[in-house]
Amino acid sequence: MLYCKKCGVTVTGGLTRCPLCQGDLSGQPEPESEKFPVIGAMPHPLAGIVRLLGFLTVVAAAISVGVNYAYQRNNWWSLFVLAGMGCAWLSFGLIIKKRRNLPKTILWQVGLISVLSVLWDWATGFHRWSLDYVIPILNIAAIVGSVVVARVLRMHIEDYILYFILDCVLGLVPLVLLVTNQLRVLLPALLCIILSVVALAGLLIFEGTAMRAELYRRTRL
Amino acid sequence: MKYSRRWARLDNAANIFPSATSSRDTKVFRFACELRDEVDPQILSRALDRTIQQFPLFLSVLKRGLFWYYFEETARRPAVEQEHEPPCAPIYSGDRKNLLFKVTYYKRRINFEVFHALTDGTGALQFLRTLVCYYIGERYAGELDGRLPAIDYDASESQKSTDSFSRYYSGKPQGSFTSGCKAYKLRGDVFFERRLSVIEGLLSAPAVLAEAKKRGATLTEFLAAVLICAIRDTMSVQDQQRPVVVTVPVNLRRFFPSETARNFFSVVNVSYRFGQGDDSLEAVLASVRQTFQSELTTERLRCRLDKLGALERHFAAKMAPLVFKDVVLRIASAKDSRGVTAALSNLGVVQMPPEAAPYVRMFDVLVSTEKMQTCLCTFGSCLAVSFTSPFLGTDVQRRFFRTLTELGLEVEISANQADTTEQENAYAVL
Repeated sequence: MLYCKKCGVTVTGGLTRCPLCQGDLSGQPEPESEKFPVIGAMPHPLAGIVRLLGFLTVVAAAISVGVNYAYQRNNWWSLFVLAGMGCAWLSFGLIIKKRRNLPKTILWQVGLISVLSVLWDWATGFHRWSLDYVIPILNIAAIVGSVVVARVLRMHIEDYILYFILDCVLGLVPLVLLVTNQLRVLLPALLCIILSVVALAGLLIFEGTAMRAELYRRTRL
Repeated sequence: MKYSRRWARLDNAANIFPSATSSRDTKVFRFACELRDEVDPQILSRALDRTIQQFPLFLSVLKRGLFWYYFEETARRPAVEQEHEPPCAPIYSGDRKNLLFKVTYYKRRINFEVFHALTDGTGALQFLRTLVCYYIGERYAGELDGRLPAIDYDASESQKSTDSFSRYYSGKPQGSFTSGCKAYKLRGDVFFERRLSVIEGLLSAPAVLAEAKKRGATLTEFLAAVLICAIRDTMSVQDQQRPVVVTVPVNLRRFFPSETARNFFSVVNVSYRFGQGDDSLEAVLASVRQTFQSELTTERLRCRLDKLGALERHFAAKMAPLVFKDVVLRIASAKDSRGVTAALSNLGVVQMPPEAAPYVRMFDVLVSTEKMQTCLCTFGSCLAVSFTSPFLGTDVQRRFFRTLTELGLEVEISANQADTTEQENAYAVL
């Protein structure tokens, strides 16, 4: 047993200094009576890659703005590079933050990328490619992706049903676009609407109880 | 796949914890039991499987609704692990649907760590006692010769899962409790990765109790006064403009009969303003005793219970979406914590069946905090006084234990050893 003369206390374990006064200890250390393990640093598993990507982003941004300024001062293409990298970081940041919940990540990405693509489309002359292609295809991928993720990871139904319901509801956005005559290309939107309706109907018919229970729990006052 | 049947609302006290959880304060606490021999993980794992059947609500995950958080039954099952994280590491994170407790072991110790929304100290103790009894029953089956340690926790499944706050809410909130002014705040450099420093003193319970009795006080009152005086010694003259406030959780089961394994506690704040005359231990103790006597009454505690119950049932509070509630509760909790210097929690005397007691050395409790938390836990003649704090400085702990050794009490100190190279690396970056 160790002893601190100044504090007048005995000290367990194999410490080299008194935990109270940081003074020297006399006596024999007894590492076997240690109550807590020594635990080394536990850095965030993705801290390294996030820092590296952050640094590379700044390098790319600085170079593109510099080159742009040096050679083509009448055409600010580097602003698009910056905006593009900003959007990529928004999406990437959200993935990192929500990475432990894949169905939720899928839902958030559909929402975020839909909004960003409409903004890009609008900023580049509104050729409606976001409405015709991006939104329907994204929603189809989300519904199919959720089913695959749930199956592969053998998820419990209560862990993904809410996100799946919301995926299907978002999948009906092209229906609104169709009815309000916003679309020029119909095929992707039609596929998306059919898939969403089928998936929602399947949920109601086969998992109606679970769906109602989930919605009740999530919305009770 | 089957959809889970059970779900439950959070009790009144639990509502604050998910919102107020941060990397600084994980709202996790650890109840630990130190045995005489090294722990056998396989037997512990079997004991855990048996224990968990008696605490169905503990097999829950925490989910976010549109308006409130709620517990939902899960098929996940706990696994016993060797301790590999710092004490009170985060358990609840919004995107990871995991159980809200962990059972770990290290050498002779069995640790039960739990997110505070699930239960309070009393509930956690019931769980740990059951676990330890099952463990000892199997581990020492030969020596016990068929005598199984019986746990004296007599409560049905529904009794254990009761929300006692709702049960004792009268619906007629009366009176008011005033929120105090800003309290003195402990400051200092913190551990890397916001880890907690743990310093624990093991004392003789009868000897400390005798010292308290000599002064006509209870153990909690006496040690609260010693703590306040230990904090005083770290204050500058300017700091003394603010009072030292120690918040003391109160087990409401003592005042309102309940066998719940969920949260059922309230708090009493003990405040002392230094630099206004007599600052001796005796003067502080007198003030602490007076506060305890006036505040620890069924009427005062009911008043607080009703007031907080009414807050939860208020129309606007119900209708506000959870995102909004999160913000409000976080602000409220931060505001509340400005009025507190430190916390002192007495978990009382742990009783074990006579067959099991000889194999147990002690029980202790650690609580996550961003200030300073002192926990008292007695088993047999062992009183464990555990300090947790994020600060590197140990002045309060040193003065606290030196006060006790100067009274002639024997103290055995244990601490979690900081990996000094890591700490130095952390400083090198700063």
